[in-house]
Amino acid sequence: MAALAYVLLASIQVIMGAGVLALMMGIPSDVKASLLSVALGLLVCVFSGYLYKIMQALLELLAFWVEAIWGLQVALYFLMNFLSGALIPLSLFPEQMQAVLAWTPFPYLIAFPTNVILGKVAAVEFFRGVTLMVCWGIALTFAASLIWKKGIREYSSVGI
Amino acid sequence: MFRAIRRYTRLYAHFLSFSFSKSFEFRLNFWFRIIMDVIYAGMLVSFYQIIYGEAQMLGGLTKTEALTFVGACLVLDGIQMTFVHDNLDTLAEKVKRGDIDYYLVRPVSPLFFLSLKELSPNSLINLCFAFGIFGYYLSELPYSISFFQLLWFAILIANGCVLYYLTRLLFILPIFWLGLVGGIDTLFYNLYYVVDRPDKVFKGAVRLVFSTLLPFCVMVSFPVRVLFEGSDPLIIAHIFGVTLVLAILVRFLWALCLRSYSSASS
Repeated sequence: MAALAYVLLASIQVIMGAGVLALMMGIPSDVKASLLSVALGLLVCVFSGYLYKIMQALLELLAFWVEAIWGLQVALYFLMNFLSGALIPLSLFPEQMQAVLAWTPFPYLIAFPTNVILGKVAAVEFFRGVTLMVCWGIALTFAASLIWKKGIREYSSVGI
Repeated sequence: MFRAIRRYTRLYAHFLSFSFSKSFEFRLNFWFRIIMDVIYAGMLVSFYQIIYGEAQMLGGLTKTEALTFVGACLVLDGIQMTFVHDNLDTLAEKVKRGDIDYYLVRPVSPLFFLSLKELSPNSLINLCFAFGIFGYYLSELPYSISFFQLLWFAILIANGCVLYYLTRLLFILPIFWLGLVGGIDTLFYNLYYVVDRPDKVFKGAVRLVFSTLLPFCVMVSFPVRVLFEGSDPLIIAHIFGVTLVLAILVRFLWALCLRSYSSASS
């Protein structure tokens, strides 16, 4: 629930930020965004938000066995930023790397939703992307639930 | 004066010994932080490798110059991660919980105690790694760098670390009035990406802001320009001027903060 609230709040911030930037700088002429592409893009953003949070949660669950995981959390944040296309467009990456990345959840965090909003994704690509996102979402949620159950079994609290 | 320096040096030696024992207690986290910094370094180097796959020059720098610049950014990052990061990251929490009392009653500067108590030995390893990257790309430059350029660069990077510290404090001190600085903290870390970019990629008002009010460009990019282009007195005066003004501002703000601080026991 907290993750969904975070996604909602972050989405509002993004929409406001994009609105201010559009007002200040104008919309570039090559942007083909339509109402449909924006609506689909926002829907994909919700999935992306979930993927982002479940990937973080998977790491945080390691806290059942490890004293401190801050270093790993920050490492994942760097990886997510770089491999999702947040720092640099994925189209600039070497082609082989792009092909490998397409099967990982990373491009679906930033690059894919952005391209959907901009109307740069064809129908086939869109369905392929959404299917992969759903598959990753299910696989990561399943993994997280397994780790959670295992962690709870081994958890011993102080004072109980 | 000398007695005070000796006293602070002895105190810092105790901080070092305490931090080393503490970091070896959390062995896995020790390795996690090394992995984190290796990923950060790999990400920065890959970023510029990819960019230079598409362009010959960026912000007036060739590929080897840009990668030397990356090495310098990693050195700054390594220094701040080793010496101040852990302290400043917990400062806001200490203020919020009223834990500053403990530091205020000590017979040393509370800011010294709060800023340097914890040292991160794992980041010290990454600092060596950063020096390695910097040295490697420096040796790859097609022209030679004089000893004096290198000396000026070392002094200005040390100054860059002080600037980082002052700017970081500038983003933390509002906790004394606001009670929460989560958003401002995130803003700082997002702005920190500016440090990793050559200053000439920014234009107009944005460049002015990042060279004066929020001097992220002055931390590494300006010293690197002195390294490549020679010691321009105007750039050096600008760097020291910005540092001095920021130091006075932070000192003034810190005094204001302490005046408005209400401790846990009051």
